[in-house]
Amino acid sequence: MGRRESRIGRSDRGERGTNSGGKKARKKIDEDEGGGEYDDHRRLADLVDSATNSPLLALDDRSLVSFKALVRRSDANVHAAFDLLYDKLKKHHSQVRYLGLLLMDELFTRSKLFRSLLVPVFENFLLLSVGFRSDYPLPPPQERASVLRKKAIEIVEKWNDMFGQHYKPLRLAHDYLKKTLRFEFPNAREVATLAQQQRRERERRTQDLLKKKLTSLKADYPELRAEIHSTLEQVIECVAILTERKCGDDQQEQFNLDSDEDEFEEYGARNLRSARDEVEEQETIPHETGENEALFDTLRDLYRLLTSRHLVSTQEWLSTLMRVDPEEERQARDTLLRDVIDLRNKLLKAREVCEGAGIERSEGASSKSGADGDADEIIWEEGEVLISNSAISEAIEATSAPAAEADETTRVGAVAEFTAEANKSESEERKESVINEAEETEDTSLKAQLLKEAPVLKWGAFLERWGSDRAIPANNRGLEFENHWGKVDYDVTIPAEKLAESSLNLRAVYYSAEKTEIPPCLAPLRNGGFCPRRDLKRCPFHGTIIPRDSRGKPLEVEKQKPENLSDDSWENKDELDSTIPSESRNVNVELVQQAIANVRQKDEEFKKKVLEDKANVRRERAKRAREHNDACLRAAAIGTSGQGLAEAFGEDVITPESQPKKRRCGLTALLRKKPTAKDRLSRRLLNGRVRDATATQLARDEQAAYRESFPNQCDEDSESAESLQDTCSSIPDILVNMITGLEEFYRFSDWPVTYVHYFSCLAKFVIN
Amino acid sequence: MQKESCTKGWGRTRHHLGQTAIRLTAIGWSFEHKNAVHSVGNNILLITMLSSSKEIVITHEVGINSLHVDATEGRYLLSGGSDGSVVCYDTVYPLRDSASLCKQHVAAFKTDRRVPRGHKFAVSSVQWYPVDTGLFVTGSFDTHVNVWDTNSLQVELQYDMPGKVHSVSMSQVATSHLLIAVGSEDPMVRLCDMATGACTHTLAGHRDAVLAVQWSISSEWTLYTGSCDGAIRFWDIRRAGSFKVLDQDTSQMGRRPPIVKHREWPISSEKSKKLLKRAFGDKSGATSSHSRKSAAHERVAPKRVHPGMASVNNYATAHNGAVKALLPTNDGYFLVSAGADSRVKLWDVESGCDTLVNYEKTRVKGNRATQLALSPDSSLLFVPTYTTIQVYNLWTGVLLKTLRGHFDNVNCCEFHPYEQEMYSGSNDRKILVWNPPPPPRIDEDGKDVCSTKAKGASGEAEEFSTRPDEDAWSD
Repeated sequence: MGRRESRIGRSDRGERGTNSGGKKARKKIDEDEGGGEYDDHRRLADLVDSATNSPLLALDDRSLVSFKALVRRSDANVHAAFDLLYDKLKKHHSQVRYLGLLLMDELFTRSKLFRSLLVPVFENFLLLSVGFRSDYPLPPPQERASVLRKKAIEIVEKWNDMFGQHYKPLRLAHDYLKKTLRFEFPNAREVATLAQQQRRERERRTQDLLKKKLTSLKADYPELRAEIHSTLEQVIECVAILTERKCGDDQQEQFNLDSDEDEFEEYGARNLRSARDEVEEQETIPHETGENEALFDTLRDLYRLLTSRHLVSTQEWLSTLMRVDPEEERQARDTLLRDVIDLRNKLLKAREVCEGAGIERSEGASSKSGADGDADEIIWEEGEVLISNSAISEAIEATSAPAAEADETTRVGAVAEFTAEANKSESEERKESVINEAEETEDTSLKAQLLKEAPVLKWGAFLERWGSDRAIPANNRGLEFENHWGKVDYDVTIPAEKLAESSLNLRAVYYSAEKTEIPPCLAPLRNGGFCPRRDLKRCPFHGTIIPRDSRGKPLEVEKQKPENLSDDSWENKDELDSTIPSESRNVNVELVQQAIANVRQKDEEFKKKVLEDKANVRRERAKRAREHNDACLRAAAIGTSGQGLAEAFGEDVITPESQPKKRRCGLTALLRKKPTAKDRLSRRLLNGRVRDATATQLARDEQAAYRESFPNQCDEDSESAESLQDTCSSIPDILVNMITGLEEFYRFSDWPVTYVHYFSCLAKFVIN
Repeated sequence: MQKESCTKGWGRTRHHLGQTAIRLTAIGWSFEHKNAVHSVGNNILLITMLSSSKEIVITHEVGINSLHVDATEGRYLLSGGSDGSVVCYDTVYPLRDSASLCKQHVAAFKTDRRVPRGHKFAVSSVQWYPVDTGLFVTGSFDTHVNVWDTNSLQVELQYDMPGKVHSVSMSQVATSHLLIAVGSEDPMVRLCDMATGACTHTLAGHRDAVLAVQWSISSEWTLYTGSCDGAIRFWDIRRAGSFKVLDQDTSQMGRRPPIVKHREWPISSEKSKKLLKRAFGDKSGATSSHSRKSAAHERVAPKRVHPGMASVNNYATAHNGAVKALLPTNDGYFLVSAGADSRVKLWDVESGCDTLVNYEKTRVKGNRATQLALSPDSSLLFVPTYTTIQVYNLWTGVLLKTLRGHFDNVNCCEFHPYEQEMYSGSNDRKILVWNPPPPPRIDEDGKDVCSTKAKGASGEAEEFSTRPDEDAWSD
């Protein structure tokens, strides 16, 4: 009966798995029990198998839930689950053990029966999960093993914290791991308690601070409240006056006025009314005009006070009051809190009123204008900056204008002009500023004239005694000081005639290099601009700085060279000047120049030719090498039978082992070693064929040596001769293999091709 | 108060070494105690497990080599550590403020290498003075045997040995001598006299280091020694040479027939008889050679030739490896030996024959002395086996239980003389207490005390609090 039932259970297992136990209810009870247990065990086994057969580090939530529900159903299931999991823990795979351990943890914390089953074998359990004995190491893969160990230690600690009191083996194990083997436990409990303690401490400190704040607030509150109220009243008054005016202007809203006044006196007393007020105010408050400017100013000040001080402070109080823990003064705190909230609402309303009046906007405008003023000032001060953009463009114009003349002097002149102009503009501006100031302070023309004439000097000590001939005290600091050489006369003076000597009334002039304008490079840039670099002689990007036209084209390029030449032969020219009569001088100069030019041209040509030759040689060599490589590859492809080249390389050789399998990301994949680039390379180089070839060649060499040393024996030994013939016939094959192997090596390494080339030559020689 | 009682407890022998011999005459009482325990039910002992109510808080965090409970009060457990320290634990009174379920027993005193003339290296063997707790004897790998005064915790006597000391023993029944038998790396067994403070005898006969030394329970002159050469020798200290060398080839089936007749079986009669029948009864054909041998033995025995002189018998071996432990049964008729050949054997003392009890699955390895234990009624044998302790029925050799709890090799077992408690010391620096589980304590409400206590204890951070030992299925 039971067997039959079990067969049925097996047959429709999948069905049951999908729609849980719905059909079960229909069956008879006795049948259900027998078959159900069996079924449960099978399902448990399936669940455990599927849960532990995953490369992930966490359990699947859904299957875990069903697993737990299943185990919970009966004690027999707990037993079965324990057996299954313990078996999993014995598997030679750390990942399986890890997942099994996670499942065990779930059950251990829940089921007493499970605990009582596991604790007697706890040492073994630790051996399998922590692997604390060196003769029973954890199985591969290595990284999962370390994960497993870490998790196991964590779990042991957790279990010990939870149930150590009831299970002595747990306690002992924990002690042994911690104290004797000195495993590093996460110490979660201690860490948590420590963190909690710290948090409590922090809270206590903040509470202390808050309480202090509260007491101070209590003391200061009436005063501050009065202050805020006065501010609010002022705002109300301002607004009232404004609205009054408007109403005075606008007779239509006469009827509103009386009630308004009443209301303003008890501002904020009733919400409804104040809301209405607000609306009215927003409607009624007029815009700023010249007349009510003063009022608006006051309002603005008040607004600023409100937003920057009162609102901020009320906000602060509020947060203090809310966060503070009132132990015995709850009542007082609550009233205060209510009061502060009230106050804040009033303030907010007042702010809205102000903003409705356009305070904020005007405030922004004023600040904007202020900024403009600043900008003006900045511009004014910028006058002192040596070159502005306009100056540069001017300079460009200046240089471009005489471009037609195109000679060197103009260039120099242009630059000089450029600098002069820049200086002039600067000084002019400065003067103007001075004048402006003068005009501002005094309008008397004499002084202005004098000021115009007066030189502007840097301040110095001499200015203090300019033109005076009085004696001055030596100790002008007024301090009494002692001198260890003797007594000091504090009233000693320096006579007027000595002043000149002591250079106290002499103007000291120090040399300071004149600020010269360095012209910009002005070479055309890709973005359409000009190079703004100012280098003395050479721009690092555009070479020597030369005068350019408005588009950045260099002027007088053509003339550069000959001029340089003439520069070079300047001395000769001088000599010629001195010796040769003036008529023939020009002819001579021309001749000399021509000669030099000829020589230089020849040199240039020669250099060029040499370079070309070199390049040709190089190209030729590369071409030859390429040909050789190709030939070798071709030879290999033809020479090796079967799979040819590929086989020789050990590449893409289709064997049953290396056939592309379905990629499994399962547990076996974890165990497999991942091949590195090095492995791949070495496998290719050392593949069987090449190795065999080398071995054969070595054998042949040996035979050859033998033959050389004992030539007469060779004829007699027919067998050896035969084998020799065999080897000889296979020599080309071997060599080609070797070459291809090397070729492959070359492909993967940085070695020059010449080695391969050399080797292939050797091979050819042998083949022939 | 406990501490005081401890220190006062060992007042009796203080500086009276000369007089102890007189007091030894009154020693017979300890046997009466033991006999009282005999009848306390073996069935409970069979479920011996790791004690959940008793715990020894280790003071010296080193491997434990040797344990001994004093026979006078049955209160103090002496332990020798592998760093040369000796610690004494009070096994009766726990720490007063140990609130948890497990009573914690702490050290009463401790001596170590800082004491003048204290042991420098591992203590291999400890033993209380059999008469009272005023003295104890320790042997160490630093080649010294020390006699300590418990009150002052100073070394009273020190004996130099030629090599590492493996075992020391004092006779429980001696009334006319005060000798400490010492087995050391030297093949000679030495007897040190506590009354004179000098070595009186040197017993020559072994060919290798002596690991086990035990005095006979029945005769104060008889000494058993086991050596690394595999021999177990019996000595009469009044005569020269050993009078018996146990031979593993001389065997007899079971216990001697006359004893089976008149002695009551320690295990329940029906079961034991069945066992006996299974073990020996139906093997008449197989025993022919043995009977012939024993017959030969009987022929030789009446002659009483001193075997120390007869070179033929002198080379007999009891084990095919070092004899690591010897333990006479409490009636003195049998001797249990454990050898490095992974064998435990039960010898008939009188005939010197192996009783051929097959102890299942014994694993005794290594070349260090171990300490076996027997329950007071000599029914259960405790054998340290790697990290476990195996419990055997002494008479049938059936493995009853394997006690798991240690995490490193167990070095020694010691059964409490008057209580149903066993102590084991191991290299994992723990002394574990093994006893039958206490009967469940029930409250007035009918609830288990343990679980309610556990509930009361939990109240800290939720995540890490100790949980009651109950099912907790949240989902």
